[in-house]
Amino acid sequence: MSAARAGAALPLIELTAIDKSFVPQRPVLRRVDFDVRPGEIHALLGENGAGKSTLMNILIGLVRANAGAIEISGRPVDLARFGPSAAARAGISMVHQHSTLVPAMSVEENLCFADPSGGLLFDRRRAASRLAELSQRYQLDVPPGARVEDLSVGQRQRAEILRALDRGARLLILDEPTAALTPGETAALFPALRRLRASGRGVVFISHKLDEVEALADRVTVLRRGAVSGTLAAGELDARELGRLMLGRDLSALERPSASGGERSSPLMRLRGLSAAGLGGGCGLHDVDLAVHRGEIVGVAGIDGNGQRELEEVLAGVRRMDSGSLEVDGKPVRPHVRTLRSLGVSHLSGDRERAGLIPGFSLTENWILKASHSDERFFSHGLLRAATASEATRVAIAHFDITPADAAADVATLSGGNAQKLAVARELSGEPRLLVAVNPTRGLDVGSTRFVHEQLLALRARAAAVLLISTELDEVLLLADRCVALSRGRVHAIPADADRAAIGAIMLGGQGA
Amino acid sequence: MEALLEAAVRLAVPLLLAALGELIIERSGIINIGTEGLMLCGAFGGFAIAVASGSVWLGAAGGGAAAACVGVLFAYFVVVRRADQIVVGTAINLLALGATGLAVRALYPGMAPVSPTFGTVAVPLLSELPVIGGALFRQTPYVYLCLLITPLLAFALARSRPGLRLRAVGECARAADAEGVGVSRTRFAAVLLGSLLAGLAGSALSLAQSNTFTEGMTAGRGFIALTIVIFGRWRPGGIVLAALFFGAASALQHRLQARGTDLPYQLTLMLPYVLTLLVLALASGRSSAPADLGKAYRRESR
Repeated sequence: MSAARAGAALPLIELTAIDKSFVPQRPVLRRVDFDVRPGEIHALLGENGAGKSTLMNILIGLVRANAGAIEISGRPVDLARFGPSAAARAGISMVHQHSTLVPAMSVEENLCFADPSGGLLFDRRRAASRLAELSQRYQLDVPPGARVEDLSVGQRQRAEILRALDRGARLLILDEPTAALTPGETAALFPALRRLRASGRGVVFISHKLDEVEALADRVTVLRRGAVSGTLAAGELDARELGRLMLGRDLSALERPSASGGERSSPLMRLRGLSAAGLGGGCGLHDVDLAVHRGEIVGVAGIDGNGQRELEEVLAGVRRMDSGSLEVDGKPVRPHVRTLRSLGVSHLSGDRERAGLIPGFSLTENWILKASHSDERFFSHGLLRAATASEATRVAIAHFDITPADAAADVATLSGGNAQKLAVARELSGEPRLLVAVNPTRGLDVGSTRFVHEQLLALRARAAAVLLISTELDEVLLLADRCVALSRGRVHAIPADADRAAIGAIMLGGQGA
Repeated sequence: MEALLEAAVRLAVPLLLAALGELIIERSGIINIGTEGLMLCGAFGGFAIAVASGSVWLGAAGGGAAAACVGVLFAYFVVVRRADQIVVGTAINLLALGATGLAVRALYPGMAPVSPTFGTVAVPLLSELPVIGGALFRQTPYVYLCLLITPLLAFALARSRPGLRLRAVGECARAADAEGVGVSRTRFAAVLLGSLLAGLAGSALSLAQSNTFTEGMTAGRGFIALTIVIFGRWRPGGIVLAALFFGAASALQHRLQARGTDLPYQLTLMLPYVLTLLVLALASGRSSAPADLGKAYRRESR
């Protein structure tokens, strides 16, 4: 008993003066100290590119540190030998933002394949009973026997936590666990994390969201540009101070410039009775009515997979409508990419890796991508006017402060925030009358998120219309003049005075509170 | 009818062995288009050792071993050096064609000798069964090998821990790695085992279906085996059916030729290959391939 108590005082893991660079002379981490104690929730804050993921990958042995020291429960570890299996043996487990369960297998099979206990054959039934027992104890609900690819984001995450516990995890790292969750799912996750803390395990909680960190963490470490800019205890937490540590400067409140010429009489764009087939067994869209006016931001809230992709694709002109109509300026329009674009409808893709930008293409090539049909600025007689194109890109780079400031650089080398800045700059360059923006700040840090939000509000102030489809409820509430919720492919109005719980209920069930 | 069935099974066996080998490799996430070359190495290695030793059994083992050695080469480039799998596979095909052709001329000037061959062995009682008796139980040992390893492989994939790990590596190498499954080790082993089977398949051509080695004698069967894996949807059961389908097509083709129809024999000879094209055209679009198929895995890349 006394031995256990003495052990409990030691940190589960302690990193000292960790250095890491993937490319010589470009350090990702610089002399980082970080430790987690048993029975503690330790939050890790930082912007994109601050080095959070790399630090965590070192913790779980996926990435090797160049210099520094690692101690596990007080025992030093050989850096060169600290790989994933060593980390797993030490009980360190990570719940990644993108699920690392094998999608084509059931949850039970996922429990089995690295189970160190067994022999030549694996026992699906025993795994199932272990799963049921753990899910009962920590109240993390996962449908038994289901294939991972059929689970929702929240269910996958719970399955992943359960797998980590099944491995005997003593230290659980959660990488932005609430990024894809509904308010209800988030509310259910927190008590489960507290139960883990109560059981003496250590939890590392990575987040962008200051309020979650305040609600949950015992300690917070803030990373900025690869170095620790501060470690605070629960009592000293204060959103302004955390923001300053993260950004290196104060973040002022978001200004809302008033919209000019917001005529509410005739909508710029109106959908009537739109129905469309779902993709990949998705729910599709059913009888959607939606209108967006000039000088207005309409927010579409909802949990991922409730028809957002389908709505986005219809409005981008790449998905067929089964029934219903789309009107722009009161006139019916057949949604087609080029028709919509000529009417001033612009589309900021929610999937910038796959639909918005082409990795492997330079900034310039991406900049002129959407102009390639008819734009005389960049093309003459079908031939590219390279000098004009790269000059236009350089102007955008300077105006939007994109790094690296190199028009010939490969887009794949840009950080998420800079890639999104480029995409936003491109969509705004044609002065759209309607911008369809889908999850415009997904995966962005505080600074870049602020930038995108300001651009959307500025567009609204210039009397353009914005349809904001976002799974981030806070973002919708912050920006939108009017909100609706998508639930199982249907649109439900959200009353202006609805609180978060009521909105959550509408998002889940579609019935108003 | 029974004769046709017997011929279909006989002709399906090299295809099935090679396809099962390819299945093991592809389930680990490696696409090996060098099956043709591995079969050729197996055919030659089996033939040369059978001639030298006078034993078909040593020959068959030698065929498997020869292909496994080439498989080590493939695995080194593809798994360890992470070279492009299509390029290395093509190189293996070209290398095998050239090397076996050179070797057969250098070792046997004039004409390649006749090697000992596997005869048919009838299983008592079972071979008397109506319809399937002759087709399944009055055959060369290669057929019995297939009867043994197909269910074994199906069971191993579905139920054994190594099978589960193999699938995990092929479906999601990153996830497997994060759970402490050695991706490179698993893939190396899969290539080795799959090459061995491809080599046995090749030796079936030189030691059971004919009695000598001729240059390029695999005649595209390695590529048909690739098709069979796709057509069989990466499942042992499906692969057995697909292999029988192609075996039956070949048997039919021989039958048509022997009958002497008005069709030029070149057209009937095309039958298995035309079917390959048709099957690929029809089977594409259904995705049940391992998700990480053809993707080299680097731990520190994101």
